Amino acid sequence: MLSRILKRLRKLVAPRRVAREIEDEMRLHIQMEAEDLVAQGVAPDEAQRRAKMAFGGVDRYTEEARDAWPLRFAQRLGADLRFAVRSLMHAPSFTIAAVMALAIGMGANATIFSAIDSVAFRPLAVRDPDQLVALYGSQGEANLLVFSYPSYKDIERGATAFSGLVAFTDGPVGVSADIAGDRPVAMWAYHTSENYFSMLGVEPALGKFFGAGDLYAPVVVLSDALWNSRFGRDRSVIGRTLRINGNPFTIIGVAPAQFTGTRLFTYDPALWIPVGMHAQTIPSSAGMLEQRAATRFHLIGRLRDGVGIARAQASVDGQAQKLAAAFPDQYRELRISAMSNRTPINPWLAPPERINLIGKISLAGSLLVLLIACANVSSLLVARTTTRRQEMAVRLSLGASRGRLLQQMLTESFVLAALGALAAFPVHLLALSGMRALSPELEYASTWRPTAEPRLLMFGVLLTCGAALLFGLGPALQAAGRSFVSGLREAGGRTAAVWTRFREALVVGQAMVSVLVLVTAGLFARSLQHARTMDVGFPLDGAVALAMHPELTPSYDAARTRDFYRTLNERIAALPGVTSSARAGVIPLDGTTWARRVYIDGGSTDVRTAPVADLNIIAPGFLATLGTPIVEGREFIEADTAAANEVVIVNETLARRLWPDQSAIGKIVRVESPTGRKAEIIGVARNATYRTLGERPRSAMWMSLDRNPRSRTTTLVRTNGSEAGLIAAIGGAVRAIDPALPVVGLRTLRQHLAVSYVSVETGAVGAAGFGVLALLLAASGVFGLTAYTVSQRRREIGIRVALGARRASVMKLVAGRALILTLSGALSGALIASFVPMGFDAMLFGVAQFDITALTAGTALFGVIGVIAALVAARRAVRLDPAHVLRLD
Amino acid sequence: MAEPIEVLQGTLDLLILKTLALGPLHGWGISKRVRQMSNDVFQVHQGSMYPALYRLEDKGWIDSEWGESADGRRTKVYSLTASGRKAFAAERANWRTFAATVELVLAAD
Repeated sequence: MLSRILKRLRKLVAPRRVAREIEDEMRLHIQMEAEDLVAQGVAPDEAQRRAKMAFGGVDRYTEEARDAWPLRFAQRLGADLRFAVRSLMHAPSFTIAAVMALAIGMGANATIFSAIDSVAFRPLAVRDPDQLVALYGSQGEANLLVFSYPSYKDIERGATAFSGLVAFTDGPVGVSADIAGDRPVAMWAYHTSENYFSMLGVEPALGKFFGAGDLYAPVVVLSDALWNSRFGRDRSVIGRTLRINGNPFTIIGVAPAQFTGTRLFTYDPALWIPVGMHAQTIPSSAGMLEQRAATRFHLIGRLRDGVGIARAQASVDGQAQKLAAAFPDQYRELRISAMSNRTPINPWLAPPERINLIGKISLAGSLLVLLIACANVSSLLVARTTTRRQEMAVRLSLGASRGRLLQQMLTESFVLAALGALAAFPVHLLALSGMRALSPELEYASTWRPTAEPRLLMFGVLLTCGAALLFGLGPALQAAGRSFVSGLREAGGRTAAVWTRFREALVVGQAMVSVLVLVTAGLFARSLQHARTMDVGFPLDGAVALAMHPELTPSYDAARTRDFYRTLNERIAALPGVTSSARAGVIPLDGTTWARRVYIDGGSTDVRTAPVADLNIIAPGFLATLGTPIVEGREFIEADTAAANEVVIVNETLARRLWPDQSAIGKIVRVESPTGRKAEIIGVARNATYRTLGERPRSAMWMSLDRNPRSRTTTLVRTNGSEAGLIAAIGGAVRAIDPALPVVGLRTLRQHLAVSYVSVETGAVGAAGFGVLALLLAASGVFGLTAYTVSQRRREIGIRVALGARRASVMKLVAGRALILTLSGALSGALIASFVPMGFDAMLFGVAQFDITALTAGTALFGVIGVIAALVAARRAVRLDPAHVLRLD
Repeated sequence: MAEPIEVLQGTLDLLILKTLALGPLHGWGISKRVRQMSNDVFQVHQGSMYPALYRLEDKGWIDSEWGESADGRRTKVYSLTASGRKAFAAERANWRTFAATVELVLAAD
């Protein structure tokens, strides 16, 4: 048994020696036979001849003898691989076209998969993520409402469908080491209910998590990223002290790397803190756990085993009714909706089901791209097989079995697929870095990371193998088919006609899609051009935004923060080139929004009809600095701070909505509820854009920052000089006041608003990427079809050339049909593309319904590439040697 | 001398096993002995025996060893293994049943 294994191994590791031994043995056999014949009286020469005759073909029997071992398979594979690489190198244009098509197909798949997976499919790294549902309230016009802590407790008590319900709120904290004078760094933190980790079912990577009874414990859990960046993965961090807003917290655990919070497209939490500690960590949050109006908690519940989302919904409906009955002022008409939180979610962007659906559609689209790529490669392979039939015939007649040929052909397909996968890698990396470059620079680490990961790798390998089978099997079977020559003849007849029609339809389709995508890319490019220059209601150039949050630093209380900002304002106003400056809670379009319901004092108290307006808190002179004109009344002045009544500015949309026929100035409104704070309208501002580019006019209102002090604000500074110089000067001014105070953000207004331009830029770059992809793919399709035509009609071409046809007429013969198909596809694509602006209404800014520039540019670009691809492939026909071709048949 | 006939597929293995059951032998020797024992009735390329030899060796029914022949040449000598001996007995029984059955059918009127 052992010797058998050893023998097999030897055959595997020393195949040449084994082959030589077989040959030696056979040669000796012939020699012995000849000697035997000589002994019987045959002449030596004749004996040699007869011995050889009697033996048969040495080569054939050597081959068969070697094949007699199962392990020969691996050996043959090596030879096949070498052969495949050699023969691919001999046909560079074929190889390049095929590898290009595959690289695009697989690269697009990998990229789209990684981008989509992290958003739509990758479940939270918790126990049974399928059981998690998020709860959000809605009321009249307002939806996606978060809850206060007392309401959370009420819902938790009554919601029987859940085995657990957690609450969390996220925001920045100032973190410093337990060393006097260490400069705090702003970090994103989750403040959570004590059952957060136990309900989610996350296991600590190090130490332990806080749990029942720890609500008021000064403890903190670190994220893996923070443990890595700040502590270098030192395992002795457990038990050490970290200062959060100046207060000591003990590090008790580190979360696993895969667990990065429960929300999508927001910041990654660096820390988790029990929410009972909020008074020490969240500035001016006194009473946050007791006040029913302090609505800042996201709720996530875990369904009991066997409970579906429908029963959970019924259960929370009951809770909503109870809350509405108990607190009619705040919760009249409240509804609570339960949505799956299996993956990180951000319902403000889109409901999770829709994100999932978009993900699936994108994946299906990219698989379609791969299928088309495979079909193109299959055309190329068939074309190549046909031209290689002489080689195949020779190998068959030399005694190679059909199985051997099949194996050889499939090996070649796998080599092609592997080359395609290799080439797909740079395509994928390029696309990924493009996507990352598009993500705006944010103040904290973001949760969206399209990165390569093991699952993605598996996906790629599966795709490669699938693709190899898909595009290789058909041609391989045909080549190694039962009767090779007659099989070809047959393929030249009816079957081939069906295949040809299929390939032609494919090329028409690809040309159509390609032009469609190219024109769309053009439209997005034009849209980007428009968006960059579009009027958002205030000028974007010549301004710098400075974001600060002094109270994250322990020594800053409300009074010191106020003094700091006053000094800062004076210093900035004195800087050279500054024309004006003012602070605000948010800058329009910077991605932050607050909204409040507005009621007319003494008017309707119906929550369903009360308008919801975007609220901003601003210092005197902010609207002037921003560049939004006041159309009626005035802006805030210093005197408003001390005045008896609260004052408010509204925009034209809100003013017209509340008082369609009269001036809003002097009217009194109530904020948030019919019994809420009273405020007198003192000004009406021109409409501007607040949340997203190209939005419909929204209601907006402004209240006084001085009356509603706030630590985290952004100072907007206008200059008539250089923005870069101003940024440096402002940085210097902040350091001069307090060198230990961290700057949250300091950049030009355009950079500050980058987040709003991302969708347009992503659209433009994404469409351009898909355009190039579709273009290359269609080019490989046209190339493949033409090459296929040449291979199918080489006999006819040979005869024509032999009869004296000119080059031009031969070119016309083979490339003509491909060109007609390509151009008809392109024209129908252009026709469909002229309707594109209607479909992308929400994402295209300032683009006419029919944009002739994008349309002609896209079609023309495709036309040029298509013609080049067809001509390059057709050149092969012209170079055919008629004598050679005709001899083959 | 009878007319040469084609060797039935698979019977070559049986002939090789029978030859080696009489004692170890090199390739040409096996070929010669088969011809002698069959009175040269089987028409077969001598080379076709080698794939069969390698197949049998891979099955573990025969073993091979390089050694020196009487006249000092390096030859590969084949011998039957224990499992080869058992397999030969089984194959021979199979063959006899098969041949007898065919004969029975042919003898029927």
